[in-house]
Amino acid sequence: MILEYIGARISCIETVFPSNEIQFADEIDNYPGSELQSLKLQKIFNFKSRRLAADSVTVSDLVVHGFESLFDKNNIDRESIDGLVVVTQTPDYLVPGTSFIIQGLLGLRTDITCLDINQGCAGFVIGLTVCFSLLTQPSINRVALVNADILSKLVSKHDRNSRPLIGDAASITIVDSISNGDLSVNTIYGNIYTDGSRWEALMIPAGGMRNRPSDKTSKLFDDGTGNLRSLEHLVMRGDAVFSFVMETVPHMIEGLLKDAGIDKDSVDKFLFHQPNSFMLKKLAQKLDIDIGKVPHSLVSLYGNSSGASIPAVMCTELSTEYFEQPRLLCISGFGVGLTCASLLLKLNCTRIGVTVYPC
Amino acid sequence: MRDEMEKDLNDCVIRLVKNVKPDLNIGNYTDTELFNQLDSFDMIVLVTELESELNIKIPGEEIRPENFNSPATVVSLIKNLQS
Repeated sequence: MILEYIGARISCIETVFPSNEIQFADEIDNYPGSELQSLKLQKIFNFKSRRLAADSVTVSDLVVHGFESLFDKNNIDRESIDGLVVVTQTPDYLVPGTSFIIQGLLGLRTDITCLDINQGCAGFVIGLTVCFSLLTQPSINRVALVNADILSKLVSKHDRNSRPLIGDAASITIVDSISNGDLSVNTIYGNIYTDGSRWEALMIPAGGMRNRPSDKTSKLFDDGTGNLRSLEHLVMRGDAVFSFVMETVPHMIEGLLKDAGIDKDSVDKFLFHQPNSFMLKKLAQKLDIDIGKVPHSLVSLYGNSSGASIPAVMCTELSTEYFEQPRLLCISGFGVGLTCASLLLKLNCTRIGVTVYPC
Repeated sequence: MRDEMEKDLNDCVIRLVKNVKPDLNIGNYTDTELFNQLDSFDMIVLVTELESELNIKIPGEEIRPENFNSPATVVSLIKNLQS
């Protein structure tokens, strides 16, 4: 199924990273196996540093800091925000949703729609599709999309399979309606694939209503390969996720390009979720695209920041100057669900920036 | 000659698996158990080492359990890629 959106554009994006920087070497003693094995991993994945929030920091802290920076840098009046969509898997509280907390802390208008979505690595694309739909309301002209996660609190320090990948970040994307000019020139195309039968491939087994947190669920155990985690930690079946990505993502992207009638070579950048550089290189190989068109350094320098990873890689590897002329982007997020969601869209005069949250 | 090449390939796979996971008694994993002894990062290290040592490219879609169940299935995968 092809999705089409007309009359929306991304005006600016701000990514927030915590100031706390962890080097790969800082945690090497926590991992199973020899130091030599871990160093080999470091070389293959080019692990350097990651940004992790302090224990006391929550998603709303990063996001409110990011919004203030975005308002200042882009001269945006907070009164102009007509809708707020927050995508996170690590809310401040189970109840209420984090969007309400952010709306209150920022003093946004009280007549706006606030919405929370539980999505992970496909969350930027899924969130954008919700923003585009909100913008079809005549009275909604500007929606703020938030993608933020502090997953480091939910990943075992002794899980070499996940820990060296994860970083914390938030991004804020301002999506505006456009009503003048030839709107069809800016048609945004998208598609979504969901396979809920594979939900166990990426999950946190305890802490929700199915398995309430307890002494038993917080106890570390060996998963059979030497990694230690508890049932309250993120567990990733890397092989299942890898297979899903290789089977699904190229097929979905090729389908999207075909349905949109756009040639692969016309795409300026392929901005994928940032699981790790190995997977991105294999994906580029499979799609037969130049790896130079696939920014892939986020995990090395900041960590995989879940739904914020696509805007984060835009803000760290591209620039406002890059977007001074129209750029055709193919963006694709994939992960928890399991889900793959992709968009083909043009960005023109989009302002991007990075801010640091002191912690 | 062909048997000898296959044996060399098998020895190479076993050596690289032991590089990835030195404590693994590879002789015990001739059937379907090898894959379960490697976490996903071990798999990536193994794939990277196979690619570098044998000068091959293992396509992402071939990195799946059935191709890494035992040294024999890995050898079979490599032979297919080389042919």
